[in-house]
Amino acid sequence: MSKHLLSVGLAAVILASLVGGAFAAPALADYVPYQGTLSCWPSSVSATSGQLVTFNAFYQNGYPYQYQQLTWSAVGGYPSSGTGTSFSTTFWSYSGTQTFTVTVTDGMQTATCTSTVTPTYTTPTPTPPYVGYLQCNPSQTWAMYGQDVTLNAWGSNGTYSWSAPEGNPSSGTGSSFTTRYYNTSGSTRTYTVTVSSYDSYYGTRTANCSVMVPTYTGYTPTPTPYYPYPTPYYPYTNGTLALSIGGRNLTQGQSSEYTSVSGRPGDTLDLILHVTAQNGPLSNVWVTDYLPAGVTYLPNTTVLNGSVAAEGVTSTGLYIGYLGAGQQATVKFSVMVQSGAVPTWGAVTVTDNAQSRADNAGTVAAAMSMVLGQQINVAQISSAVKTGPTDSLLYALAAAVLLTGMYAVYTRSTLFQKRASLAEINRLSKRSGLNFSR
Amino acid sequence: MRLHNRRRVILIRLAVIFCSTFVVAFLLLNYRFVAAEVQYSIAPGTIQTKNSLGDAIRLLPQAKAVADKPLPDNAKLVIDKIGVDAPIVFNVPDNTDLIYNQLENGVVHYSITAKPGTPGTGIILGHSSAYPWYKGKYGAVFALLTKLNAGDQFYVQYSDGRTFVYEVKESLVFNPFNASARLTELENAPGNNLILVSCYPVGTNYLRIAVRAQQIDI
Repeated sequence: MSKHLLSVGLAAVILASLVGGAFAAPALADYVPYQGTLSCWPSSVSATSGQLVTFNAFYQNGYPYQYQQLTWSAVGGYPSSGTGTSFSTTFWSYSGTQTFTVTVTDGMQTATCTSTVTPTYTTPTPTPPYVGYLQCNPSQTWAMYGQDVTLNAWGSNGTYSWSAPEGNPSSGTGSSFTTRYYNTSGSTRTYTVTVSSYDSYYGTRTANCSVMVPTYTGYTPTPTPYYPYPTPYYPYTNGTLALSIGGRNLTQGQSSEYTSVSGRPGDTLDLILHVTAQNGPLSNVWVTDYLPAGVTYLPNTTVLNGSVAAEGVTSTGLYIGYLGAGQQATVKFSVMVQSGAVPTWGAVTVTDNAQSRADNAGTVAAAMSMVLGQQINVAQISSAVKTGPTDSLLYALAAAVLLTGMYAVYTRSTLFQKRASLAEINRLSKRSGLNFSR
Repeated sequence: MRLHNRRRVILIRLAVIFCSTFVVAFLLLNYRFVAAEVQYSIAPGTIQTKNSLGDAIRLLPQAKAVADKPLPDNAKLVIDKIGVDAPIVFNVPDNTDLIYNQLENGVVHYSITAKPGTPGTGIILGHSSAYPWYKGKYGAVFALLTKLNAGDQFYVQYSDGRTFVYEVKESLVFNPFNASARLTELENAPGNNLILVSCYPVGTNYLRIAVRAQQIDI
């Protein structure tokens, strides 16, 4: 029985094999040698975001794998695909730990690996408090003897202290600091003002300003007005010296100022000099007027800005001193026209020259023309020049007399003729006895 | 009686002839003045010169460019109201014959006086009338000077465009051989003045007329 069953079973197997071989195509595995199970190693790996990880493929319990084409896929990786027995890729994670899967396949089997990626956190560096920088403005400036100079601090944490050796005051606090220097050294000196500021992060910072001060000239200027920060403080520039001359004839009653003036012998003229500091202050300003021939300076007539001033404007010069930016000094003095300077006819034009100088602006000059002529005399002039027909009345009279005379002669001759005719008629009438008297 | 009447008629005729001849001869001798007077009488205020005051003012920008330079010696006097548009002759020596000669070419600035536009008082001379045989064309340039009244304006324009406008302030008829205080006052009036001088009455030179005008800003 058992032999019989074994035989039946064997026959059935053979039959089945024959039927299957006749009706079904053989499977791929039927032709490829058995390779074992495709595996990926390491099956799981931990990496940081951006870290390169490498995976390898192999067959467990099988033939060597090199006969197969292996394809890798890594969704979210870079690169995201590859071939070969080894594959390297990189994953990134920006929001917590993420798991990425790497798949390798040979067309029949598939194996997977995983990579657990953690974000790469950079521990934030503690942000220091804002300090920035510290500046002292203006970094370099000029100030006259005793003149206020104001400096401003900028930056840091807003708390400042000032140090100004030899300054008055020599120290202070706050974002703005005003001091002054009295330089009597005989030459220009440069003073340093230091502003300092402390903060916990950077410690103490300092910045310097330089203040250049000319030496004492004997004149204490009026303090210039302080323009509060943040008005831009332009670095000091030397002023420009401007000079102009005007004049008027007092004798002729002129009150306005003219750019040229005329005069007659004996006339008193006012000469007016305008000295202006443009674009900056001027120190040690002098002005001198060089009078032309024909006019003489009248003593004690010099006036500076409305006040009587020292003599010398027409000789050694007049000292004006300091002029602030935009400030103008007006010097007025009187001269008299000399009789010998004026020609007997016509007028002569002379030039009055003036010159002004300042320590920090050099020398400038100006000139004004003066017309010096004789005292006009309309009667004298017009008596000499006759602008009407001198003898037209005489000519008209002569014509009238002539014509009237001619008429008179004509009338007289006609009358004589008439009388002669009447006498002849009377004579003939008497001779003939006729009366033609009527 | 008849003879007496005849003589009276003859005398009247002689007088009429004398007077009419005198008047006609005088007018003929001063026909330039007569023409100007007639023209002014027919249409007073309408005598226009070639250049009006408006034209002069329009030249101001050009004049400003040379404001600081000396005034040139070429200028003209323009008085619209009485039709004067005459050159001003400068630098004429104080010689009567030379002045007469230059009066043929325009009006003469009396050299020793201030130039128009400069401080002080200047004097300009011009003919009021001249004989028919007078050569210059400016023989009666100031014939109508008496027509100028206070407030009338005229101007002096230099060749570089600088123009100075004057406003008449006063006029005065005076005897040149007997100067009056009034004339002295006129001569020394303050400001920049221009005095126009000519003979008066027209056709004679017995008196003079002076018209003072003061420079005004424009």
